Amino acid sequence: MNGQTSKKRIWYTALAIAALLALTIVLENVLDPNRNIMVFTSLKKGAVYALVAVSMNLLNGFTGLFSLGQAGFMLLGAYTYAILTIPAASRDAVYYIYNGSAINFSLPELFGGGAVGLVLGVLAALVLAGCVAAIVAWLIGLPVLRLKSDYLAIATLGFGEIIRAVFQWDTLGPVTNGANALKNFPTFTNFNIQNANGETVLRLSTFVAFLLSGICIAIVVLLINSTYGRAFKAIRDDEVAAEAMGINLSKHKRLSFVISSFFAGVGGGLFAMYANQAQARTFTTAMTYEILLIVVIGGIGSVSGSCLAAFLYVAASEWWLRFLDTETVLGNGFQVPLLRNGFRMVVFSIVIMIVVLFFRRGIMGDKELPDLLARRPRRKEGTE
Amino acid sequence: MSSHVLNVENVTMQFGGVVAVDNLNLEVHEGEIVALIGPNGAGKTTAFNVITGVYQPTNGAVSFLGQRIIENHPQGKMKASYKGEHAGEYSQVLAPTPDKITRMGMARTFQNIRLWKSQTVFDNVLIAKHCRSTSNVFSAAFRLNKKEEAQQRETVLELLETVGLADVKDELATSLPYGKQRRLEIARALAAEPKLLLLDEPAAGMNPQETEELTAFISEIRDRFHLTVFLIEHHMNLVMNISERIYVLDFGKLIAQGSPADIQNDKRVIEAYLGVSEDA
Repeated sequence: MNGQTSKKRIWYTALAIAALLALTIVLENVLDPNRNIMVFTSLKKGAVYALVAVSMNLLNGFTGLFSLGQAGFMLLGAYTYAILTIPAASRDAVYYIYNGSAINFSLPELFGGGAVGLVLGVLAALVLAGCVAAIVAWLIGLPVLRLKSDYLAIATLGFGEIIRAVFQWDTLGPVTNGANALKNFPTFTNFNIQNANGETVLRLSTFVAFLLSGICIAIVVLLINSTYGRAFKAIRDDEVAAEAMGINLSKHKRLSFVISSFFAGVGGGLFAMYANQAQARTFTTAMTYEILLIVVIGGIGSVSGSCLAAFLYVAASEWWLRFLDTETVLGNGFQVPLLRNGFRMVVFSIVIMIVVLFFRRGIMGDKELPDLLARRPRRKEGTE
Repeated sequence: MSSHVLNVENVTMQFGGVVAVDNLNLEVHEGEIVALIGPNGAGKTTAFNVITGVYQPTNGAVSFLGQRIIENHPQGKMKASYKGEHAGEYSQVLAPTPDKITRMGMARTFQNIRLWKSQTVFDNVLIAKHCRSTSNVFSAAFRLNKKEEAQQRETVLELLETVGLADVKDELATSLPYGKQRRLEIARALAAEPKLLLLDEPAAGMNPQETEELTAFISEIRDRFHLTVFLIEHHMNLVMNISERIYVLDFGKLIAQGSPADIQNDKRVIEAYLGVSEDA
């Protein structure tokens, strides 16, 4: 915890992040996005999942609260974002079953439209998406956070399912569009800069995904390294000792829960931007498990682990293993056995099992990337 | 009353049908080192847990620095099954959580060491400073509390130097030898800026030399930080050397109190306790 080295480390980290962001711009403008759809899909989805995984890690890895409500909070965020940003003109088309929407304004238009309106409107909608998730988290936290470990997981899991059912409720149709998808709101591609002829001159969609998710992750990291983050870790390590040392358990648990849900909500908004639509049935329990898997593979209690694992997970499941799904016939008429639709998920599951078996504590354990890169040898681990 | 740092009044703690602490009365004056001793299962740790808010007493009251902080009377089912005395004398219900009591100025250590395992020595002490920080979560996350943070780090460093742990400050807390872990736990309690320090068997599992060092250490920190110390202990060497007054519990009941010399000659204490002590 030497002041000098930590300052140096912050500079290096900032430089690395800036380089990464620059790289995304270069990549997207050099590679043809139409030929490399999978690359950019994986990058965008990876960025979104990284944020959600980090938000889950804040709760599960740093505060020791085993919660499985992430998909529910993402759903709240995604719907809030979508409802607030669908252009007024497209509302009738989107809500055609319900004869138009109950909400007839759109934040980008309220901010004056154009590029400025788009940026401000999307940012405001994302913040509000987080706020809605946070408020709901505060409310359900009142009863639910009295529970511990598995019981908390079951309660939050139930919450996710309830939220999904409520949003598909027909009576709420004019607001949520029932079980139908919300569409036509600004997505990452709206941030590509076009010239007067409608040709794209500078592609920024991946960059925007990285930037928004990066800012949120940076805030979480700042929080984790603050006095509150240390209090969270104390609660995780030993609740009784934490309380005896003056840390108000219920207040801090609620704080962590609300903040985690805020970023899950923002992540949900970003997910809607990535998917070009928001529909309640995508935010299933399976999604929470995907994120939990990312957290576990990355290392419980490691932010950089979660980020890394998010990209690896998304790339492996969406892109690298794609070829396993297509039947392949080699030159001399030899059909490669096993390759058929669905085989990808079999291999993927095996890969995950191998990772979990051989990296018990995830790829990063509870270390961060800069820890591993630092040349200073680490001291031996605790026995547990 | 007000010169008493701690005043325990008629405290009874009953679990179901078992009376763990029976009508306990004790007081600790400012600047004193007072010991609570007794055979295994006498209810010493239970008494500690009542004082620090972990348990809510069945009946009785606790005052700290002249202010009533804990009070309770038998309620519900307990009304019928209450076996203790002084029922009906206490009407209020005051049950602050342990963290609140710590912030009032009472810090404790644990019988079985409870350090934060994944944290370094430095962070263990720094976290205890959290309850004294005034910044809210936004100012903390966005580093608007730099001054306070820097000041906290400085005082923690000073504290670690005082207790002789500055050279291992970046080690993991669990990698320290046992004696130093005990010392770290005391340092952590001190970081919460207490007026009253409660030590639950600080010398448990220590060899004679470590115990001797600890004895000196406790007196030293008492003088340096102007503390009042209330401790539970089994090591008679430590207790007799260090404490000004001693309370003896047996089966939840107070059987004797007084100076170490009085206690050593008390017949009931010898019967209940010292007769089987390692020093006898």
